[in-house]
Amino acid sequence: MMKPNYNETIGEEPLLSLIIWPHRSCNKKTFRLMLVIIGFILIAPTFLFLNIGFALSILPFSLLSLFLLFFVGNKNFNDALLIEKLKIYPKKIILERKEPNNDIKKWHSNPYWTKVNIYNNGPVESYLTLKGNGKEVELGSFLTPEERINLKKIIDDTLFKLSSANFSRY
Amino acid sequence: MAEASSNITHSHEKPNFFIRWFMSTNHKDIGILYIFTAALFGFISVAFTVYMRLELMEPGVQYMTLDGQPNGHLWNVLITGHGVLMMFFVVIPALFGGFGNYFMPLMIGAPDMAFPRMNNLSYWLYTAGASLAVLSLVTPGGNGQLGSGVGWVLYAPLSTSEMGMSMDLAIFAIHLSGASSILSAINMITTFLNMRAPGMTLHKVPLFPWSILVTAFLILFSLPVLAGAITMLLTDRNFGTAFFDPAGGGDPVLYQHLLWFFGHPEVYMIVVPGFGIVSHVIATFSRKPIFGYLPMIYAMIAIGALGFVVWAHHMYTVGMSVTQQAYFMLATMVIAVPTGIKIFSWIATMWGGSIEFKTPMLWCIGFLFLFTVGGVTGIVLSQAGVDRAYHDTYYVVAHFHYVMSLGAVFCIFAGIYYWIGKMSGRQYPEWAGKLHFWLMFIGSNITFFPQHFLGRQGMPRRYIDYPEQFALWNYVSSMGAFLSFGSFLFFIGIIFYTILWGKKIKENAYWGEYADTLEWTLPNPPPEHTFETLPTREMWDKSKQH
Repeated sequence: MMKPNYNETIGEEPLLSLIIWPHRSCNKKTFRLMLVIIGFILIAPTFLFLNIGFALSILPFSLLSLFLLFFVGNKNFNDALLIEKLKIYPKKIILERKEPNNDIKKWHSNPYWTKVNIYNNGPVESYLTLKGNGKEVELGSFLTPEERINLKKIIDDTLFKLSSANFSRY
Repeated sequence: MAEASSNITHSHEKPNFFIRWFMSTNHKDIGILYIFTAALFGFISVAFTVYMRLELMEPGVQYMTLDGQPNGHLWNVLITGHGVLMMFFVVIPALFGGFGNYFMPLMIGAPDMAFPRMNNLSYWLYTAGASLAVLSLVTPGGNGQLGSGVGWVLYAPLSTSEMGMSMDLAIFAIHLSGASSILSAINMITTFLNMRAPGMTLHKVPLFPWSILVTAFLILFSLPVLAGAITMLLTDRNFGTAFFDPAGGGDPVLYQHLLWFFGHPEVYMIVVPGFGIVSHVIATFSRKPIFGYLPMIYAMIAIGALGFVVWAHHMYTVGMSVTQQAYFMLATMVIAVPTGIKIFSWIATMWGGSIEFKTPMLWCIGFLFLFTVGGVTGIVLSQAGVDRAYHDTYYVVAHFHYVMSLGAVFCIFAGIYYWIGKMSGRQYPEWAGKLHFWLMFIGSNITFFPQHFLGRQGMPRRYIDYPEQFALWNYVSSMGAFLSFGSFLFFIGIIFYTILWGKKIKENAYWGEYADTLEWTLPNPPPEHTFETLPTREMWDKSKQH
């Protein structure tokens, strides 16, 4: 998924600001709502029978199931908390990647020397990379091939616009 | 920073045999493991029934004897073993664990299950549980013999007073099966909710993944109750509690309530994934999209929900008040409504379609007939007054075998013939599949239809012997059982022939354009890793083409 934000003025503001994250078909809010409903269905009937006593035998298993669902559901969401932020300034291109474990990795390069490559024999179809500052880094490997092709076009257009603007100054 | 892969040409190393099949975290391999393991335990369980039908073929006790005397304990052990294995370790693992694992992620465009290692753990817990269940048959039990003969429902006080450790092993087996099922259910729910392909909203998900989701919720809501109930059995047996012992202030009927609160949804856990398979097969071979997609989804949800409020129709005779019986009777009859929606939607899908009577379609038409018969006798049994006469007779045996033994098992066969080419890359001989169907259809009807007559004559279930008056239909029923068993052996032959020498199929969607879910976009068999790149909408949304 992508959220591009264009800025037409070439100054200190980034010319292009992009946030990219892996696809998830359910958002956290919906999942939490579902957990509340499941929790109610699992636990509420047991409380009706607390006076008989046998509910105490069932409650641990119900709570365990609910906890497991909560734990693995959260883990699944957190595993997908991978965010890539791309910012293109007139003199700098910055890529920031936030890993699921909150590690942040950064790469930067001069837009003039940066090359946007797409490989058809990469780990994923239409593998997109940025090459510059002595390194080649991947971008949006979790997107669909069409999204990566689209992303390349957006970056290429921005870099072209930037080089044209730089050229017109002289 | 995630540096670009230094090795641009990407390849996955092929795992060796041991790693692939014993340490697998791949949903497709785990699905296949579930199907084969369920088949193995299914064979053991079916072998028990052949022995039992052999014994029931004629009045008197001919084969199950000990020192020349009828050995009722052995009979009870076989009944228990058959029930426990079939209910917990054969049908659900094959449909939910097997087909669910293999095809649910493929159909929603997910690369694997959300938690592949947990998936592996679920499978091995299931295998350990099934092994314990078989082991319980040959460890010291009641009456100074091997095994416990208390029936699959493990009713107290029989189960609390049965001697030996066999009973404890059986309880542990069910505990492990429950743990496995809950882990699987949680995995399936997370996968279904979080990992659908872009654009695949809930109302666009194919019916089979929907059926798996409904089943997962049934498991999640009912298994903790069973786990609690059998834990109480364990503590009653081993730690001096008296949950189900009236002498200590307990109540054996409480166990029945708890067991059936799980037990009735269990029936739907067994059959709902089958509904999903049948929907796909009927649409494919009628060359039409499924009729009433949304009502089909909500009918499954309604069946699942209603399944939780009808449990006591299994125990009309325990001494409930008339009001309670009236409630359970009416609630039970309401289930006929969503079930009817499904049956009529399948018929409407076929209506006006260009039907091809390939083997999977034959199994589905067989399912429609048998499940309807089982459903109608279910409505008969739902009447509390009528149930007074039929309770614990062969009419009940006939009813639930039509629903589960025939209904659900026919779905398994439909699924196997529908997808075996996709799973193995080789196709079965069509004539063999059809012969298997007809042998099984005729055999199973000869087995179970006469049991309605026996029930109406008043023959009680769970007995090793019977009076002369019941001889004719028992003989016919046994003949049908032998024919069905023969067809099962033939089926095993078909599977091995197909895997080893079956015709290779190269076309991805070899059943034609109406086999249009995502698994049909993949080669036969699918590569080890699928949909690592998310599928696009054009790959799965065929609504405009049809």
